[in-house]
Amino acid sequence: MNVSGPYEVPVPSEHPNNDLLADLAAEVLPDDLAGHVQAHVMECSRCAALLADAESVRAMLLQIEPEQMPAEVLTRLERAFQIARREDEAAAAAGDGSETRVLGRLSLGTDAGRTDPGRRIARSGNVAGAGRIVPSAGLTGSIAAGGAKTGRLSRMSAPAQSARRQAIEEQKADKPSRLAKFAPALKIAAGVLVVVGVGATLVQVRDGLGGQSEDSAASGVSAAANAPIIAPVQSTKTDYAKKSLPTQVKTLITSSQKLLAESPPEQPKVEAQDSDETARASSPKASGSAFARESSDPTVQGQLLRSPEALRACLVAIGAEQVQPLAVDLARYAGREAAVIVLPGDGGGYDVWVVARDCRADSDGAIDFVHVKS
Amino acid sequence: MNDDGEPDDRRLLADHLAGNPDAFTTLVRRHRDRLWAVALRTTGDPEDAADALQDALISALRGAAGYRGDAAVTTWLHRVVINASLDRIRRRQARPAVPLDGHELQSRTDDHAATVTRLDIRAALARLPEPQRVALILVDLEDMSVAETAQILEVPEGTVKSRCSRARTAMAVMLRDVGTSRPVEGGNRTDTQHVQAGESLTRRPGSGEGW
Repeated sequence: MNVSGPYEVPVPSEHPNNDLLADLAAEVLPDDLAGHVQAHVMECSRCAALLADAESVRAMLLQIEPEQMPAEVLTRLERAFQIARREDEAAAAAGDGSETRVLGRLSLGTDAGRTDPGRRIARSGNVAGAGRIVPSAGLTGSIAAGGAKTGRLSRMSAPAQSARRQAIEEQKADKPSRLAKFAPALKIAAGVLVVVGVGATLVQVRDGLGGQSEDSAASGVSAAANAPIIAPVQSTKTDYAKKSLPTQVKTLITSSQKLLAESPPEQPKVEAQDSDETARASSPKASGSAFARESSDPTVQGQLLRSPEALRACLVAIGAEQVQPLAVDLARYAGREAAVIVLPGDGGGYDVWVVARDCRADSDGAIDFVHVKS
Repeated sequence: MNDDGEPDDRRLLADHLAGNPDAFTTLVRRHRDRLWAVALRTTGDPEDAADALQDALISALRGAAGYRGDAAVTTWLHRVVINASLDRIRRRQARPAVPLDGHELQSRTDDHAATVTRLDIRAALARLPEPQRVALILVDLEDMSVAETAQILEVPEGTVKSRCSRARTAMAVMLRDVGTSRPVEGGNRTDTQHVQAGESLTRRPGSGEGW
């Protein structure tokens, strides 16, 4: 038997301490000591009452219904699994460096096949950020940067976002959308556009292969933020309104999650099936990929944010370059064209940015910001 | 196969290692609520619990080959989640301690000692020493056997029994103190030696004892 702590034989005139009483109840005391304590309890209503109360604690705890895992936590986990698999696949394809990265994350052994996370991993410390959904945890991005961060996803860019939020409260009354000023300053570089199902585009940037593009540098997109954005960019044609935004946003997130779950993590296919452009795609003249069509003129029908570079630039503009969007919808807001970007909120819930569809690094075209409770 | 005709946990883990992209997710979905409950109750904070779960399950996903098969898959998963949750607690120890004046524990003046709120229980759990808290969560809240808990925590069964019993006693004292104003009988005894409520209430959550 291995019980903790040395025991002090109780002085007959005093109560045994609580640990002794507890260990008596657990039947882990040595026999002679148990006899002493038992004899005391038989004579002491106070100690007997304490033990009775302790026993009732178990009954009380057993009656507590277990909390169910919130849906958003499960979604987050599944996204993390998806990203981890992609990372590992990319790492395996990349060769030797990947092995080092995975092992470094776990800090265990020298062979990934023999690492057991069930063993004590607490001392490694660097497992904290493993797989957390941050931009730096990209296909070939620096895992060290992501892994070193132990803060919450939603708080990583909190200062920048907060400042921007404050600014928007001051500006939005007199700051019109910059749709008219739009200029196609960004072009899609080193990008793969995946159209998934009807009305959604899964944007994924393969970075690290050719370095940061000139365009991304010019648009103020930092290398640190140069990682895949996995949120599907949808065009639901919803007309969002402030009053109904919580419901609408949750519907959008559900739709986004469904699309993401259905999207194959492997080789992306380039296929035009956008609801805004279904007519064009089905016309005899519609040929080539959505990528080619949109990169030739990304301003068509306000579809700029389908470009991964443009979306990233927009995230920079709203101070969310370190945050992975949960959903993006090129839709309408209060009757006007807008892009709705849903981010994980500080302390739970969702931060919803409504911006002009030409949102870009130097001009977010912010229309509104709303925090929606989950 | 399990009783429902579904692949059992070991099969799912083997399928995951064989490259089935859905097997691990299925495994997690099957046990999600229990894993969540353990993480939440251990950390006492939903965000910490979510972070800990993500840390744990990504580690498990990547380190599944390290599962030795000498315990149930759920035992292994629980161990991973508890380790990650304890890591999370240690990282947050720089944060301010839970107030010591007990104001988190809802003060009541009625005599209904049985109406202990869930908040009280959570706050009392948070005040337990870490080893006691984890043992109590597994045995009394998750209704695991002492033997399985001992496997998860990699300690002897006697240690689990002792930790649980000490935790229950400490909880009883804390809940009694805040739940009712019922006087402890036998007031002519040495209270500090007997109840030690002050000691329990001044511990930081997540702080360990010299176990």
